[in-house]
Amino acid sequence: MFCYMLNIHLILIFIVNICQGIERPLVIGHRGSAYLPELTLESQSIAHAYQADMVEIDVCLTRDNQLIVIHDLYLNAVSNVKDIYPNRSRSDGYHYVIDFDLNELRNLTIHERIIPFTNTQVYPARFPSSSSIPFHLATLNETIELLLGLSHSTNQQYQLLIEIKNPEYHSQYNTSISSILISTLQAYNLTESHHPIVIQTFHIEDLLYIRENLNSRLRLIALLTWNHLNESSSNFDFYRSEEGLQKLKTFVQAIAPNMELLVNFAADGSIINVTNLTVLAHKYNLAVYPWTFRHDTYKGNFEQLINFFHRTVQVDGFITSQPDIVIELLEKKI
Amino acid sequence: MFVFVLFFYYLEICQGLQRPLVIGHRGVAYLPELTLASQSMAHAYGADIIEIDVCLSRDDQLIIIHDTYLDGVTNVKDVFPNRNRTNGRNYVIDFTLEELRILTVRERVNPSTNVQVYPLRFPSKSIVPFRLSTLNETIELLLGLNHATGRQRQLLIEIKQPEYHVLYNKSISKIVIETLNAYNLTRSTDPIIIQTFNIEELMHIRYNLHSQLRLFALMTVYQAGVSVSDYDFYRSEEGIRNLSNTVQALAPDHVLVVDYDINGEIMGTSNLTKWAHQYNLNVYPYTFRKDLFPGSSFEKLVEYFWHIAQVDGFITDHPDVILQLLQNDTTVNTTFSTTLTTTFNTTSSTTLTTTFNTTLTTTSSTTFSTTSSTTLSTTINTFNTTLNRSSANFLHLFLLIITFLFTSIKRSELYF
Repeated sequence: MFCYMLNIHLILIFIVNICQGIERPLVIGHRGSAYLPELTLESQSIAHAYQADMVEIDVCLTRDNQLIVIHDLYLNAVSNVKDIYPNRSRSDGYHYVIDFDLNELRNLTIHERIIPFTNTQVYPARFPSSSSIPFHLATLNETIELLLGLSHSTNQQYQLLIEIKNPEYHSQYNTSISSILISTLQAYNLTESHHPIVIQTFHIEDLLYIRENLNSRLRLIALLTWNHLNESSSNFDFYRSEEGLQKLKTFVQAIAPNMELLVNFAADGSIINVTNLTVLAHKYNLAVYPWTFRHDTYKGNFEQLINFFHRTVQVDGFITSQPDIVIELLEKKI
Repeated sequence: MFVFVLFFYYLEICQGLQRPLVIGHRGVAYLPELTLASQSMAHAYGADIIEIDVCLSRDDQLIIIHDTYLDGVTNVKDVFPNRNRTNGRNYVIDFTLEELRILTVRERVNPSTNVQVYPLRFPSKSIVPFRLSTLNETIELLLGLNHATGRQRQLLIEIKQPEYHVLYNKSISKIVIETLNAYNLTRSTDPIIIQTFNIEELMHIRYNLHSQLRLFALMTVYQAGVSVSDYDFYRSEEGIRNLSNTVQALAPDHVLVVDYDINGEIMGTSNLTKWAHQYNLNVYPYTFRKDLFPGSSFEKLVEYFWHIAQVDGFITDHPDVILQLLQNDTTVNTTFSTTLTTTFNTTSSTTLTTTFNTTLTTTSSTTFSTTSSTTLSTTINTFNTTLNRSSANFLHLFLLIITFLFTSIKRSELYF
């Protein structure tokens, strides 16, 4: 009789083992993670420690053509630029990254995001923006060396998802940010599809340029959103259609859509239904990585949200500010 | 009977939750020591406590650095080529905070040879510009991360060489206490602990500076004429009794806790932990570095210290590794003890109980890789490495309910 009990126990263990062995969707740490000022080397390190598969970063250009890791084209939401360079703002009151050289930007300290020109923290539950800790802006070179160094020291390979911010804006300054990015990566021998670098941007035509003109073999992801937001001149309505996805398939490996393009939400945050975008994308072998899953600001039940996108929408990964929470939720289900 | 079994179940679960503490030594091994990034990783990995070292600058600022000189971890020689002393080294106390902020910090090298001390760690040649931080910044990092993550970690501040700082007419302990006061960190319940090798300084902190913070006594091998305190006395029973009036724990070099033979094999445990526990002191030995122990010997070492030496925690460069080892082992212990108690009451199982007793003790004290001949042990091994605790508990409850149902049926059959 006891042996019978034991057998049941063993069978249960066996089943659980099998289920745990199945791969979970990718978890991508948005700007590193929510717990430290975005995009700092510390925020990236903490995402790695939380076992995020990928860390997502944004790059913009300085006046002297250096790639800076920052989300906005201006400096006022995350730095003390107003105090250090009070006379260098434009007529709209903002200080733009492209108006500064790298060595000038190195004098700034970075803090948790605030609403510019106020003292109001955008995400109140996060790291205090009033802290005196002198975080700094990182360059892409430093970010790459952090990635490679950490992979070496931890013996774990995580990947970097580099978003090129507003290539068309940078073209106005007669620079091709994409070319500079590809050259920087080449200097570190990061060129192939199996290398731990992925590139994404909202300007789909730049992805085509990277693939066909710059001949890059790196993996590319097409960011998708609503046309009316003017993130780029690309026609996202077209690229979301079956014909558009078919075209995308010829030069990118995945799409990264606003999650509202995949499901329809009600006002209270609950989900009404699923759109057909994921099914279509999968039909053309494009992976789907929606953004951004923020645990501290989502109005509904976060666990249900993740579950729904995992089981029903069947996305291939999650771009999230709280990679540790999403990983725990994904691994919890037996 | 069901109640009896349930009681044992809950007892075992509670014991399983009290694992030894894990203290991240200088943050973690994976990034240059003591940087904010390294401390952040320790926090994220789940280290209960993050250990840092403080020294004073020329202008009395508390700098987070392990050595009293800068050449092991910074580019001071390149930035300030003429500021070294006659021994060739550049000392923290010869520089102001403003000057120290210009330096970049890298993974530790031997200052004489420029060779990386731990080759498997972050490349010391990397251009990533890590910086020295101050105690204020470290405190704000801890409090900010605790707030943002909702997880409460603690800071263990080692005061480096108070007797050296006294030569410069500086009371480093007083400055530490004043800095902590400014952040309202004063009580034994606050997430701050202080430690130092200078035992008399701990007395000074407790009785002259009147601090209520928790204190740990660091101990190493006593060398007459070299050691600042008489560790041979302080690790005797009388010394430990003496210390127990002032400190909350001992942080000894691990060689004081167990006896090693010439080949580095453990022969037995010393009396230190026994006496410490007798006088209500915890024991946190240092330093458990995985990259110094090849193969599975690190796991064996940790298990010995946990189950045989019975220390209360580990000071380690690899908090993630030790946490994993502690959590896996806890799961298995719970499994075995629950299975043991459920078999207690079924009449057919007396012989099996004895077998389980032996299996339980052997597997808890040696590594799991020594699988016994039964298929049960092998399966438990895989179970050990992949299952997390909440799933294990769910399974146990299920198992218990089924056992109860079956044993109830069996008992009722006896009446017919």
